[in-house]
Amino acid sequence: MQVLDVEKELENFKDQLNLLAMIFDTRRKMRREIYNEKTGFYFNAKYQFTTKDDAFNVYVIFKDGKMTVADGKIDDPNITIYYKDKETLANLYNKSAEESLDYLLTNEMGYSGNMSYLTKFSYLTSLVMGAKIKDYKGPENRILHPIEDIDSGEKGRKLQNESLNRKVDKVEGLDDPYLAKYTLNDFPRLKYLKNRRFALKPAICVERAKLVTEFHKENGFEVDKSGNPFNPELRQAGAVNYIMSNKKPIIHDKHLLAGSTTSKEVGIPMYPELIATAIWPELKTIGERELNPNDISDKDADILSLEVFPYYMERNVREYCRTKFNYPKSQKLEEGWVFYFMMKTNAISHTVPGFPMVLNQGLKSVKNKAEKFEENAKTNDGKNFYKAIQIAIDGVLTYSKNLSDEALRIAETLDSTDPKQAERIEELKEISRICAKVPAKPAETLHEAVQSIWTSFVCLHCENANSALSIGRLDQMLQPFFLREIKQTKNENEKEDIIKKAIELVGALFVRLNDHDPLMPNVGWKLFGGSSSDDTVTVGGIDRDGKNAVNDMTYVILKTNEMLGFQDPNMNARYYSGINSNEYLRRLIEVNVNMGASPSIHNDRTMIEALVHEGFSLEDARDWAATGCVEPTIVGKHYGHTNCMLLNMVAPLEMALNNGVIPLTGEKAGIETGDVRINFVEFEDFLDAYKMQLKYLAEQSIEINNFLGESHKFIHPTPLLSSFYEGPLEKTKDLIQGGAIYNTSGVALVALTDVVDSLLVIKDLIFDKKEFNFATLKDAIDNDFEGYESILHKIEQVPKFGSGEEGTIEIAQDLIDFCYEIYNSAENYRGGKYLVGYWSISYHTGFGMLTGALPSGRKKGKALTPGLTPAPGTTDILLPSIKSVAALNYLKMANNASYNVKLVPHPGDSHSETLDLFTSYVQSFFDLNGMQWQFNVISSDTLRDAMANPIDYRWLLVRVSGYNAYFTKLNKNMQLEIIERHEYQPK
Amino acid sequence: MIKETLLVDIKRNALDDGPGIRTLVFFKGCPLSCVWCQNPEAKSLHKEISFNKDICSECGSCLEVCNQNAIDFSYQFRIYRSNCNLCGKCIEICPNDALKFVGQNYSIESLIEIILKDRVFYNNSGGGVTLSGGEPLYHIDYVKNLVKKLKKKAIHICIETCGYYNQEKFYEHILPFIDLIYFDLKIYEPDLHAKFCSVSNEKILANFEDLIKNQSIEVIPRIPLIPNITDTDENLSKLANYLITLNIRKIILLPYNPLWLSKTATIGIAPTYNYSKWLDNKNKTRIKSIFSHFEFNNF
Repeated sequence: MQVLDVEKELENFKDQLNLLAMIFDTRRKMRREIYNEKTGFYFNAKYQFTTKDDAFNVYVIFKDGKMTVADGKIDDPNITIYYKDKETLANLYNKSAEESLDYLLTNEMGYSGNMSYLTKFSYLTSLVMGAKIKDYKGPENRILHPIEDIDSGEKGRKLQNESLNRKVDKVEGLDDPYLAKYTLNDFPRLKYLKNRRFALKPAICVERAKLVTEFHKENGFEVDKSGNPFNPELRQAGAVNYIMSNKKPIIHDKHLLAGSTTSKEVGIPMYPELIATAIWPELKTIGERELNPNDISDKDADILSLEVFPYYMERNVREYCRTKFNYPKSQKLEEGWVFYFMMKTNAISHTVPGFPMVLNQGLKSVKNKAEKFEENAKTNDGKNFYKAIQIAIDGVLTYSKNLSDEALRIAETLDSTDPKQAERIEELKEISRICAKVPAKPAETLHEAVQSIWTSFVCLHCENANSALSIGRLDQMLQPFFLREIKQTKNENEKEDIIKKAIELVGALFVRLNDHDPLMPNVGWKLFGGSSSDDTVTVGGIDRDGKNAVNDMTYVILKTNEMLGFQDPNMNARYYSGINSNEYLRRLIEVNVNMGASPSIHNDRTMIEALVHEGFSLEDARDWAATGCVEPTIVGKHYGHTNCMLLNMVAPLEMALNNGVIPLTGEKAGIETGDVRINFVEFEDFLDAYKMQLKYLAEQSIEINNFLGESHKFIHPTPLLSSFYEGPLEKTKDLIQGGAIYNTSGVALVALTDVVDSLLVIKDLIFDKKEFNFATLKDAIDNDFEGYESILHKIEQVPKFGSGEEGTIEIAQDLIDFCYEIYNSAENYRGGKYLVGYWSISYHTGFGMLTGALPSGRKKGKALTPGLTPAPGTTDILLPSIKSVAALNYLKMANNASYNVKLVPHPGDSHSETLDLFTSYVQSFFDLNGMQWQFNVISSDTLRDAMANPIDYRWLLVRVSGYNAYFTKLNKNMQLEIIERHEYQPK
Repeated sequence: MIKETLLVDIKRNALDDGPGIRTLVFFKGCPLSCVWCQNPEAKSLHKEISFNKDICSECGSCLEVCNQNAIDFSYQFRIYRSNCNLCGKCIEICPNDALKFVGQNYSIESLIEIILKDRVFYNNSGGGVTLSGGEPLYHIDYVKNLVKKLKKKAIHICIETCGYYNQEKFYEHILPFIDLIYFDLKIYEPDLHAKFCSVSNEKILANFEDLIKNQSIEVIPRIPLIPNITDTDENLSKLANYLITLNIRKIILLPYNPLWLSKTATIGIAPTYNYSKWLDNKNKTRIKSIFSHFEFNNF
C-alpha cells in the first residue's frame, strides 16, 4: 500500500488552489463564473480552509475577478471549510468535486457559514477537473430505456382480480365495484403514456428558476424599483404571476389534460430561493451519475450557474435564517445531519389545498372576494395582502388562457382529413373550451373538474416546491360529476362509456402527476432517496356527517391506480370499520397484493379521534386527507406543514451514552448527563439522562423550525396557496403568518423502536439481571460488538418491542407520552401547536448510516427501524407484532404512525384465501386501535432478483416508510434494509 | 382434577390446521406409536431433553455440570437418557441453546391466557384453537376442563385425533364443547395398522363410524401419505371405498414430510422407518385419481 505523504499532499492542495486562481486569469469562460459583466455578478468572497485541530490554515479571496490563495487565517470568511485533520484533507481534496457534500455526511469535512459558497466552490473545482466530466452538449437524451410494455414478460407485474357483482358502500353506478373486467389493454392511450413515462429520463428544468430570477432582477427583492422595502407578499405574488404568465403552455401529444409543471416532458422544477443551489456542484455531472441521472444541457447549466444561483446565494431560506438569527446552535445541529432534518429549507408544501372550493366556486370568485376585502381593508399591509392574492390568481387565469389558446393553435396544425388527427382536433377543441372556463369558474363536467385540479396544481407549483403538495380526497371531489354524467345515460352502453371515461380521466391526471420529479443532489440519493414529489391522493372513509364516503369514484380511482402501477400519486385509503364495507377493505388488500405496496390503509376511526383530541372539530376531523406520506390535513382549512421535521430519536440515546457527545463528530452536541461507566445506579437514572438529551434536542428542533418559519415569511410567503384556503382572506393573513383555520406543524420522530429496544436491554441485563456492567456494554458498543459476541448473544435473548412480552410496550408508551408533552406544549411561528407522528420516509436508513452500534444489538451503520415497526428478528410471528404496535396510544400520535409489514402469501393459498387472511390481519390491527398499515407484499427473493436484474423490475414498488418508491431507484442500503425486514410467511 | 399437562409446543398464527388464524397446541404423549411419526418428540408422555448436534460448539460445559454421568461426547446421541434425571443444569449452561427441554407443563389457566391473546384474530378470520399432538385426547381429563372453559369464551375449537379414545368419556366431556374434528385414518387393514402403528384400528374405526352417525359436528378425515405404507393403491382405495360407504366426500390429504427424520436423533432414538424424499408429482397425480370423487384441501 502506498503511504500518503501528508505534507506533500497539502502542498499539492495549495498548488491546486493556485492553479485554479491562474485559470481564472487565463480563461475567459472560467472568469465569467466569478466576474460577469453581462449579468453584473462580481463574486467577492472569502474562504477559509482549515483542519479541526487548527493545524493547517489556508484562505482564498475572490475579489474583482481575481482569486488569491494564502497561508493563515482571514477575518470574517463567508464560509469556513474544515477537515477532520490534515490526513483527511490530503485524502479528499482531489476527489470528485460533485461528491463534496458526501464528505459532510461522513464528517470528514464540515463547514460553518453560507452553504451556497461551498456548493459554488465545488462547482468551480469541478470545472477545472474537466477530465472527469463528460462534455454534455448534445441533444438531451430523453429516453433512458425504451419500453413497449413494462407489464409484459416473465418478470412483469401479474394482476389478479376478484369481481363483486353487487353494489356496496355508496356505489350507485358500478354494477361491479371491483371493475374486474377491465385491464390496461382497454385503455390504449393510458397504456402508451404509462410506458412512455417509465422510459423517460427526467430532465432539469430551468424555466421557473430563470423566470423567477428575471422578475427579481427587474423588480427587486429586498427593495422595490423605487428603493422602498418590498412588501414580501406583493413581491412573491408578482414573481408567481410572472412565472405563470410567461411559462410555456404545453399540451403533450395524446394527453387529455393541458398544462405541465415544467417545460420538459418529465422535468425537475427548480426553486433557487429554497434549496436549488445544493445541486450546483453536480451541474456538469448529473446526467451521468450512477443513481438516477437527470438530463441538463450545458446551456441550462450555464443559466443556473451564471444567472440564477448567484442571485440567490444570500436570498434563500437557509441563509436568511442563518444571518437573521445569528447562526444559532439549533441550525448548526441541523447541518450535522444526524440530529434532525428540517424540511423548511426545502419546502413548505406539505399540505392539502382546498381544491373542492375551486371546483365548486372557481378562482374568480376568490379573486372577487379579495377585491371586496381590499376595499374594506384599513391598513396598508392589509390592502397589500389582498392585492397579492389578486395578482397571484391573475397569474393562474393568464396561464389558463394560454393553455386554451395553445390547444387551438395545435389543432390548427393538424390535418382534419386524417381520421386520427380529426379525433385529436376534437379533443383539443374540448380542451381549449375547458381551459377557457376552469379553474376560473366552477367545474360542471368530470373532465372540467379534473382539468381544474390539474391547472391549479401546476400553478401552485409555480409558487411552492414539489414536495408533497397533495391532492386530497379525490373520490369525494369527483363523485358528484360522475353521478351527474352517469344519471344522464340512457342505456348500458352509454353507462359503460361514462365508466371508461372516468377511468381515462383519472388516469390522465395520474399520468400528469408523474410529470415532475424532485430535485435531489447525489448525496440525497445516497443518504435518503427514492422519494417522488409525493402528490398524495386519499380515498374512502366517512364524510363530514359521519356517513359512508366510499363511492363509485373510490373504486374507479383504486382500479386506475392498480392498472397504472405508478409511484405517484401516493395512494392513501381511509377505512372506517363498521361504516365502510368489508368488501371495500378486501379490495384495498387486493390492490396491495397487485401493487405490492399501495395504498396505505388508515384506521379512520382512530385518526379522527386523534384529531378531535387535538382540538379539531368533529366535522372537520372527518374531512382529513393524507399529505405527503400519511399525515392528516383538513382539506382547505388546515395549514399544518406536516413534515416540518424528522428527528432522530437515536441521536439523544448516543448522547446519553456519551455524556452529551455525539460519536459521529466527537462534538459535545448535547448536554452533560453523566458518564455511563460510573454515574448510573438505577435504570431510571439512565432513562432520565436519555429524556434530558431528547428534550434538549427536541427544543432545539422547535427553535430552528420556528426560525425557518420566520424566514419564510420574508423569503417565501404564499399568496397563491393562501387563496386556496378558508381563513387567510377572513384573517388578512398569509398562510405562513397563520392565516389558516388550523395552524399546526407536523413532526416525525424516527426510530423509536431502536431506542426502546436499547433501553430494554440496558434495563434487563445491566440493572435487573446484572449480567454485566454498563462499562462492559459501552466497550461492546464502541467496538461494534467485535470480540463481544457473548454479550451480543445475551442481548439477543432480551424480549424487545414487538415480542408482546411484559414491559416491552410500557417503555415505548412512556417515551411517546414524553415526546407528546414536549411538542404539544410548544407553539410554532404561526401560533399553532406541534403534532407528533412516528414514520420515517427513508430517514431511518440515512440516520442509521450515521449511527454507531446500539445497546439493542444493532450494528454500526445499519438501518434503523422504519416508522413504528418492531425490529427484524424480534418475533417470528406477526400477531404479537401487530398487537404491540396497536397497543400504543393513538391519541398521542395525531401526525400518524406507520406500521410496515412485509408479508407474502401463504404457500398453496389461492388469491381469495390470501385476501381472506390479509384482511383478517388488517381488520384485527384496526380493532385493536392500530393507526395505519403499510404492506410490502413482495418476497425477499424477488427483491434480491430485482437488485441483480434492475432492468426487469422498473415497475417494482416498495413501501419504505410512509411513501412508496421504485425499488430499483433506491440506494443499496435502502434496498438491503427492505430485504432484511422480517418477512412474515405464515406457516 | 388434572391441573397441568405437558405440551410440546404452542404455535400461534397457524393456518393449516383448521379454518382461519389459529393457535395450535401440541400435547405430549400418544397411545399409538407409528413408525413414521412426524412429531416423534410428542410421542412420549414424559419430559425429555433434546440435543441439536448442528448448533453444538462442543465447548464441554454441559459435561462439567452433569453429576449423573449422563453426558458422553463419544456417544452418538450425546445423552444417556437412562442416567439423566432431567435436572436441567446442562440446558442452563449451554451457550448455543443446543440442549432444550421437550415438554413444558402448562396449567389450564396459563394455556387459556395464551390462547385468548389472539382472540381478535380468530374473530376476524373465523379461526380459533386446534388441539393436536401427540394425542390431545390422551389427556382427556385436562382437555375436558380446557374445552369447557374455551367454549364459555366462544372460542372455535378443533381437535386433531388419532381416534384411539374412550368413547363414553369423549361424548360426555369433549364433543359437546368442540366445533370440528380432524380424524386421522391411516391404514385400513387392522393387522397392518397394528404392525405400523402399534395398535389395531378396530377401536379407531368404531369410534369414527359412531362419530359420523352422531352427526353433531363436522368431522373431516385426514389421511397421512406415508410412502409404501399408507400411500399404496391398495390402502388408499380401501380407505376411499370405506369413506364412500359412510357417505363422506370431504377429506384432507397430508403429504409426507421427511424432515421428521432429523428430529428423532435429537431425542436419542434411531428412526424406525426411512424415506427421505418429498411427495413427487407422479405420486400426487396417482393419489388424486384415487380420490377423484372427493373434495380435498390444497393438495
